[in-house]
Amino acid sequence: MRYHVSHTTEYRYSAQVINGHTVAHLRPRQTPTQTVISSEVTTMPSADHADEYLDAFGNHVSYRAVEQVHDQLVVTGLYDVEIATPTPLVWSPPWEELRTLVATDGSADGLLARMCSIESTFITPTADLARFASWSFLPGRPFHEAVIDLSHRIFTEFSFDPSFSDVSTPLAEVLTHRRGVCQDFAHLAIGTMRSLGLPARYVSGYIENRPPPGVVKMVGADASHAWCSVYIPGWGWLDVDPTNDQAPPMSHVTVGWGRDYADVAPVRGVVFGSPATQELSVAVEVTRIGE
Amino acid sequence: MNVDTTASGIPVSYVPTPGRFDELVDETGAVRPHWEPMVKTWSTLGANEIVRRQMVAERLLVAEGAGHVFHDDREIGMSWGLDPVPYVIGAAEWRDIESGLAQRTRVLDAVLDDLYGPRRLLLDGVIPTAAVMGSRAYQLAACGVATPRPRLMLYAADLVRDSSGRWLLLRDHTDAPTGCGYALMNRTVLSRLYPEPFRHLGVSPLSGWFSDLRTALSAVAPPAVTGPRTILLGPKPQRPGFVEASYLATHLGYHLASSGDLITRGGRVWLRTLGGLEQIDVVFRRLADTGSDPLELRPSGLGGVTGLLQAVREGNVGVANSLGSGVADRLWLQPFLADAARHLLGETLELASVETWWVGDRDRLAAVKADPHKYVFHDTDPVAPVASVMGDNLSDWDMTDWLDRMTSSPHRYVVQPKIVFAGTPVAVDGELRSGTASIRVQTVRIGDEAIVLRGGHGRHVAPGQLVINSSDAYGKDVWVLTDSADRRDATGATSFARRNRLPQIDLRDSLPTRSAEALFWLGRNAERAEAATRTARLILGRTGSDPALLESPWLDHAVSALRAVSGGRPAESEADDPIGGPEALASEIAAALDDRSGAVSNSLRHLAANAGGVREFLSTATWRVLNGLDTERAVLSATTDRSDPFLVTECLDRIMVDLAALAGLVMESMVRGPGWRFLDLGRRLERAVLLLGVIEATLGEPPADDVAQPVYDLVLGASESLVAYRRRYRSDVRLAAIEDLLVHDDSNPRSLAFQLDRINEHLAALPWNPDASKHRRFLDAAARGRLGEGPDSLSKLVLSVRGPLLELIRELMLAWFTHPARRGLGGIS
Repeated sequence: MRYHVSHTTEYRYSAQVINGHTVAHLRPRQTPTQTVISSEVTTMPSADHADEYLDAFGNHVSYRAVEQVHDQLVVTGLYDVEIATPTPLVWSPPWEELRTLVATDGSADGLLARMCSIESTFITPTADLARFASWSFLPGRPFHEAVIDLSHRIFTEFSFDPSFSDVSTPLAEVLTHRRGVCQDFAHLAIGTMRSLGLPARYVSGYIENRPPPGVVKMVGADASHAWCSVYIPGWGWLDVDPTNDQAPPMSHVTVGWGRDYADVAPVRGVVFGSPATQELSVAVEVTRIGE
Repeated sequence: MNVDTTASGIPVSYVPTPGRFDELVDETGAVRPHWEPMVKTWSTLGANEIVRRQMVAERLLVAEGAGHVFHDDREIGMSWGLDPVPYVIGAAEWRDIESGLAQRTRVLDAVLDDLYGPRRLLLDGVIPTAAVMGSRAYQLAACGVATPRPRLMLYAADLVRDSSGRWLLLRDHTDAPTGCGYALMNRTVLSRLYPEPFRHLGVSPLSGWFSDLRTALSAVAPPAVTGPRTILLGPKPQRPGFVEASYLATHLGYHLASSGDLITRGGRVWLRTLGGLEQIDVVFRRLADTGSDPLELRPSGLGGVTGLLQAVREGNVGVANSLGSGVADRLWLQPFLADAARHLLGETLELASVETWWVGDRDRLAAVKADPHKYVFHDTDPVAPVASVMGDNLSDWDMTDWLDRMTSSPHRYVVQPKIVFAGTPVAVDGELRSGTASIRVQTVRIGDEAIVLRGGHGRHVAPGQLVINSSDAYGKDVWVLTDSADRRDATGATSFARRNRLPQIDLRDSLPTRSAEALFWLGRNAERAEAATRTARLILGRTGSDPALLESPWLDHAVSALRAVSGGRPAESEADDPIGGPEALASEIAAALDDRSGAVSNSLRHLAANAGGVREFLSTATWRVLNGLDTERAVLSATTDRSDPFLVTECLDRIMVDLAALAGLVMESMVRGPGWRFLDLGRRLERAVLLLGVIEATLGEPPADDVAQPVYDLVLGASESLVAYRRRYRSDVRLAAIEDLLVHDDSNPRSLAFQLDRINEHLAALPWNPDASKHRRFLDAAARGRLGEGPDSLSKLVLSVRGPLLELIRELMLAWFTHPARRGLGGIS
C-alpha cells in the first residue's frame, strides 16, 4: 500500500520574531515493513540555514533556522511511503521471563528496550498503573497475548475524547477519567508495562482516516497518530495500537520512535523576539496513492 | 590565632583526635617534616601578627574581587573567606595523587566517548542501562554528535584523607568544574601572607598549568581554525560562580560572556559585540550543560545558547567540556567505573574512591532497607534541593520518604558508607585546631596527556556536614611541595605548554554588548553618586556655618537642587510641599542618601554591580577604590543617626574622595578603546542632564534678592564650578556670568557645552553605529537648544536641551543594548 502524507504546522505570532530555531521529526524512517520513497521538510519563510541528521534512536531530524524577521512560520513535511504487511507473531515467552531476557540482550534492540523500561519525560510508572496492568498480565501468559489484551482493554474501557487532554495531561488523570486521545492511550499502555519493569516504546506516525462508503473525505480530517511497540527478544518489535485495537496495525505510517512523545515531537523550537503569544494550527492529510 | 606552643612547637589549641591520622603531627606527637617551616613561622610571628595578617588576607581577597556577590539585585553580602592555614602536601605523596588523577581523567573521557558513541558499556552490560538512563544528565541529543576530542578537557576531583591516612576520591566533576579560579585567588593571597615559608618549602607555582589550559582550549577549536577566538561562557553577574568565572576570564585573557551575549546563526556561534557579530570558535563553558542549550539539552529552561549543540554538530565550534559531559559528574557512575576502566582501557584504577553502591541492584535495595542508618544516601538525579543525606541524621518521616523514593525508582539512587576523615590544621575562631577539609584538584587534558594542577582549592568540612553539600565559600590554599624529581620548569609549565605557543589575536576593538552596557551604566551611576553626594555635602556645610539659611527661602532652592540630583520628586507647588526647619532638611538629606533610584546608596550599589560585570576592563587599583566605595556605602547605611551632620559629612567626604579617585583612574588608566568611550559617554550624558536639573531647580524661579548670593553659590558649588567662577570674575556673583560659565563655556569641564562636545566626539569615534544619523539629529537639537534664539529664560533653555538629550539616551540604549526576549515554541498535533 502506498501513501502520500502532508503534515503542516503553522505558527502565527502576535509580534514579530527576529529569528527562530525549529527541530522537526517529520521525515519517516525506513522500517522492515515501510519503504520511504521520498520525503522533504520545507518552511515558510524559507529557512536561512538547514541541517538533517539522525537522533539517538535513528529517527530523521530536520533542523531549520529562519534568521529574518517574521510573524508566521509554516513547517511542512511531505512524503510518500510504501507499507508492507507485517509478519504475524505466533509465539512469545511468558511475560515474567522478559525482564531477564532483555537485561542480558547485547543487541542494539536490547539496549533500546532497556532504555524504554524506566520512567521518561511523560511517563512515570506507578502502583496504580501496575494494578491496571495486572488484569492483563496474568501469571504465565505469553507476553504478546498479555499486550494484545491490554490494548483491547484500553480500547473498550476508555473513550476517545480530544476535548479532555493535551500534552501536559498527567497519565494518572487519563487513568482516572478513562478518556483521552491516541497519544494518551499510547503513553498509558507504555506506562502500565513499564510499571511491571517491561520495555515499551512510543511510536509516532499517521493513520488514514477512511470515510464511510459514499462520503467524500474532508481535507484535514486526518491527524498525526501515536501507538506503542513492545520488544520480543529474538523476534523484534511488535506494534500495538490501543486507540484502534490493532496488533499489529496494518496500514500505519511510521515517522519515528522514542521513549515517549518528548523524543519524537513533530515540531518544536525556540524563537527570539518581543514577548508574544502564538497561535498554532496543524493540518495533516494522508492519501492512498496506490495498492 | 592562639599560638602558645607545646615543647614540639605546636600551638596548645591543636589537639589531634586520638586514633585518627593527623596532617600536622605524627603518632608520636612530633610535627611532620613538611609542616616544620609553617610551625616555625607561626611561633616567630606570634599571635597578634597572625591575627593582623589574617585581616590583611581578607582585605587582599576583597581586592581580588571576591568580596561581594550580588543576587537578584539584592545584595546578600556573602563574603568569601580564606583560611590563613594552607593545606600542605609532600612531593612524594602528591606523585601518587597526580598519577591517579591523570589516569582517572583518561578513564572518564573514555567513558564519555563510549556513552555518546558506540555504547559498548551498555551493550555489554558493564553498566546497567537504567543507571545511565535514570539520569537526566545523559543528553541523548548529544549521542552521535561528532565532538572535538577530548570530551573531558577540564576535570576536577574532591579528595579527602580518611582516618587511616589514605587518600580517597569523594567525587568527580566532569561538567563545568569550579575551583581552579579559586585556587588562583587563594594563592595570590597566601603567598603574600607567608613569603618566607612559601619560598623555603618550594611550593609548586600554579601559573604554568593555566598556560596548559589555554593550549587545551585552543586544541578543541574546529580543525580549520588557526587562531581560535575563545570565549568564557559564565553565569550572569548576579549568580553564584560569577566571581570565579570573571576572575578566570581576566587571568586567561578571554572575554566573559553570559548566555544573552551569544547567539547562533547559520549553525555558527557569534558574540554580540557593538561592532556586530563576531564568530566564536571555542566556548569555555562554566555553565552546567543542562543549562547550555534550551533547544536540545534537557531539562530545558530558557537559559543557555539556543542552537549551541547544533553548531557543534556541524563542526563549527568547540565546546569544553563537551556538551553532555555532565553525565559522568553524577554518582551513579561510581559503582561501575572500575569495571568500565577494565573494559575500555584494560586498566585498574589507581586511586581509591569512596565505596559506592547502586540501589538499582535489588539485593542492595534490600540491604539498605534492612539497615538504613549506616549509609549516606545520594539521589543521582536530584529534583529536590537536598541530593545527599546521612541516614542517621534523618527523622522517621524523612527516612520513610527517602526509602519510598528509592523503592519506586531504585536506579536513581546510590548509597555510600560514612567516612571518618583525617585531622588537618584549620583556623577556627582565631585558633589553630585539628579540623577536616577536602581538596579539589584539577586536571587539564591535551591530546593524550592529562596535566594535574599542583595546587587546588581546599574546603572546610564542618562536623556532621557532607563534603558534597559543602560550599566554596571558605577556602584553603593547597601547597604542593616540590623535590628534585620534579620535571617542570620554574613556572610549573610542562613541556607541552612550552612546545605549543599560541597565536596572538588582537581583540582590541571587540566589545561585547553586555560589557558596553555595564560600562555605560558605570559612568552614569558614578556621576549620579557624585552629584548627589556633592550637593548633600554642600548643603550640610552651608547650613552648618550659617544656620539662618534654614529659615530662609534659600532652603527651597537647596532642597529642589538636592532632589534634582538624587532622583527626588520636584515639589509640585509650594503649598503642596512646605519646606522649612532643620528636621525637614534632615529628612530630605536622608532621602537623598538612601535607596531610591538616583540617591547615593542606590547609585553606589548599582555602580558596584556594573563594575562586577566588567571587571576585566578595570585595573587592580580601580578595584581597590571600588571596594572602598562599597565599604563606605555600608558605613553610610549603618549610620542610622542621619541627623548628626558631623557623621554624615565625614562619610560623604570619604565617598567624594573615592569617587574622584575613580574618575581619575578611568581617565588615566583605561585604554581609549570603545570600552572607555562607553563609560565616558554615560558619564557625560548623565552630567549634562543633572546639570540642567540643578539649573532648573535653583534658577528656574529667580531667587529673591536677599538670598540670591547664597543661591548662586549653591548652584556653582553643586556644579563644582565655584572656584572657577571666583578666579574668573573678581566680583559678586551675577546670573549672566553663571549662565556663561555653566552653560556656554566649553573650557569648563563641568559646563553643558563641554559635555555636548565630548558626547559629540564619542559618537563620532564609535565606528559601528547603525542609527548614527538619528543620534546626530538629537544631539544637534540639544546643541541648538543651548544656543537658543533671543533672550529666552534659563528654564526654557533647560527644556529645549533636556528633551533631545533624554531622547538621545533612549535611542542609544535601544540601538545598542536591547536584548531580544526568547520563548519556547511548543505545540503538539
